[in-house]
Amino acid sequence: MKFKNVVVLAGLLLAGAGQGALAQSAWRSVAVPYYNPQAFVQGLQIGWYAPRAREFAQGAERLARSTDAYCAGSAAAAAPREAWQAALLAWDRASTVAIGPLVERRSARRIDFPTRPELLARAIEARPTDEAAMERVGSAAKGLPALEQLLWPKPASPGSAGCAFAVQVAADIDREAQALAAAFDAASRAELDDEHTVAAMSEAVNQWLGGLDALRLQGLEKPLHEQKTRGATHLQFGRDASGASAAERTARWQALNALAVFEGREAPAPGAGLVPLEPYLRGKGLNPLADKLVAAMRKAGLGIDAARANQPARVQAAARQLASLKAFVEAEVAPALDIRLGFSDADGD
Amino acid sequence: MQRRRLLQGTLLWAAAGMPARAHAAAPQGTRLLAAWDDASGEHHLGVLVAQAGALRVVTSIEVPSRAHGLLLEPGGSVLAAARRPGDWVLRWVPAGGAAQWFWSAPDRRHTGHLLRDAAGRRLYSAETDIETGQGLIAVRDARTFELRAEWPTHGIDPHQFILDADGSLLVANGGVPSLPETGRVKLALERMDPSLVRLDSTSGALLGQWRLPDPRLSIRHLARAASGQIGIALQAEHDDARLKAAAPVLALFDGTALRTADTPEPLAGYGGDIAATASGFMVSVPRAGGVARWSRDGQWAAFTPLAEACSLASVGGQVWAGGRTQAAECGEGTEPQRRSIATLRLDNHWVALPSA
Repeated sequence: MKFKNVVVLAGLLLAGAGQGALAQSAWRSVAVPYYNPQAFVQGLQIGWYAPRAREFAQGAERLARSTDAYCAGSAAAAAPREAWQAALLAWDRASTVAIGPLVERRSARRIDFPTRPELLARAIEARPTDEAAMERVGSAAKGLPALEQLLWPKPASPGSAGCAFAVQVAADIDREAQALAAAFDAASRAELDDEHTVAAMSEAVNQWLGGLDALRLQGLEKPLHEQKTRGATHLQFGRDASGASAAERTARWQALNALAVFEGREAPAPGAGLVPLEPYLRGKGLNPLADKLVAAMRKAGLGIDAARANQPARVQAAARQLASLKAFVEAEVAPALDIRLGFSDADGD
Repeated sequence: MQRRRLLQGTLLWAAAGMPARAHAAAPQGTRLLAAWDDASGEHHLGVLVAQAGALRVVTSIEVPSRAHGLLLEPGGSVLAAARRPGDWVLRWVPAGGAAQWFWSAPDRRHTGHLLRDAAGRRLYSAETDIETGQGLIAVRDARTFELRAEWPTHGIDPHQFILDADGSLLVANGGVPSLPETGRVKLALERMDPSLVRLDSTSGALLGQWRLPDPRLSIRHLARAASGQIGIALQAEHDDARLKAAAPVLALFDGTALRTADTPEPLAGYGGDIAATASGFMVSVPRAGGVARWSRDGQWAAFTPLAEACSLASVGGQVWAGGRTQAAECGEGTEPQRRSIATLRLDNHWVALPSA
């Protein structure tokens, strides 16, 4: 029952995104507005980051409550486990393309930093009981990965030091999630000036590529290479304890897809909603390039779908498709948007 | 997660993780270990050989992202470290195709180059702690790549490092701030703090640290001349385009002080690689389209045009420079011999392999 409900929920939230761009926008019959960087950035803030950060905040609040209830002995372990899964996917959607408050707050350090078991064991022994004490706990002993280790494979027993620490970790995640939601809410209402708008659009496209690369390298290539070097028959993924690896990959892809391909029928008026890269290109009259982007996203999305069972050949194929997509966006889409890529291959070191 | 266990001593040699291709029987001629992108943007590590008018691929392995720092090992294997993102190190045997992958610990990233100690027992790798941003030299078992120790580089963004004549490590802290969250974007350049540090190569103790007066000159690549003089290739990060274009690309270190070498013409402020020659130093300047030379005391000597010149390798008194479509074999006082590199888009560095 590991991820069924959550995956269904994710599918409802972002219907079809994992399969590439199945929805067909009406750009052939309804004119797509011309968008400037301000409309792009405003659309991101109001149409993507503010709602995704709110969803993560709601998920984190539920996670804190359910962990509390489980450790108090008034709920089964399934409650925090399911809440953890939902919070993870909400975090993935919000953070895959990390911009603005996600970067300024360095939220990933608090929410999704890799756990070091020895530091987690030490933090449990220290028995922190409040926010001030949790500030002294290092990133490698808190966040969603640490909580995963406290909930799987055998959940910490109610009344144990491990469970008491799990309550503090969940509360810590909740605090950061609420702060992040407040920051994105404020950003969505802020006045935008031209200079910062252009920089913010550039940051978003660069970070979109960074999110794509992280999904490919950490989510697909690393397990493949480690399997071959180990001489093992199966792949090991980062969320194997909870069984969330494939669902997380899908959630990350959904975020990338939603920011690249328009899923509605009529493109939004400037400033009225999310403007993915596709309608932005169409608004500039670059329909052939927009079509190419949609096709590349669809192909890569099918690859991600096919890799859900974690079968090595399909994981390898998905990695290749993401690499091709990255090369295409770097070579054709970014220049068409007048985006300078930080540290592109041409930059070197 | 279990960083010390992750990279494992017990790893098995395996068939290459991605297809390795033997293109031809290894012919005679200068051979270079290089990294490149092909026409479709895929990344490769491989061996090139100089043949009539061209460099040809002898064997190669596809890699998942750019390979940057390259190192030859005794016994015919080679190491390559990924960069941007610095997720992996590959040990590969070009002659047989065997490959061994070492992915970064989740809270570490490779930031440039690798080095082997004089006794061949240790490998050093330049890394960053992604939580704190602290630069590190990771000390590893040369055979298993298992982590033995981590030494702070007393700066950020460590890139290349070399063994000095006294056995100490000279480390270039590039000093460019970045975050794992924004790996593709340079941040807060006003906080740049490049430095050259000397570390004890057995304990990691800090033995000295030097800075240039201009903190926007990133200290990145090092070469030691037979005289002991250290040449340093610089990369300027000024906001002002004019300052950047005119910025020096070479600094010299005599063991006590750092100073920049003058350039008689703007070189676009970007030194890609550096090689020591019998008479001084060569720095590739891809954005100025060539290779610049100085004497060992920093006097300007010459400029050899070569479009997008970057990778440099010393081969028997000559320096091979790799560019966009050509490689040039540059000697002292002779016209460079040029060879086509066809559609390969070379990465920043290459290394000469011993004669077959």
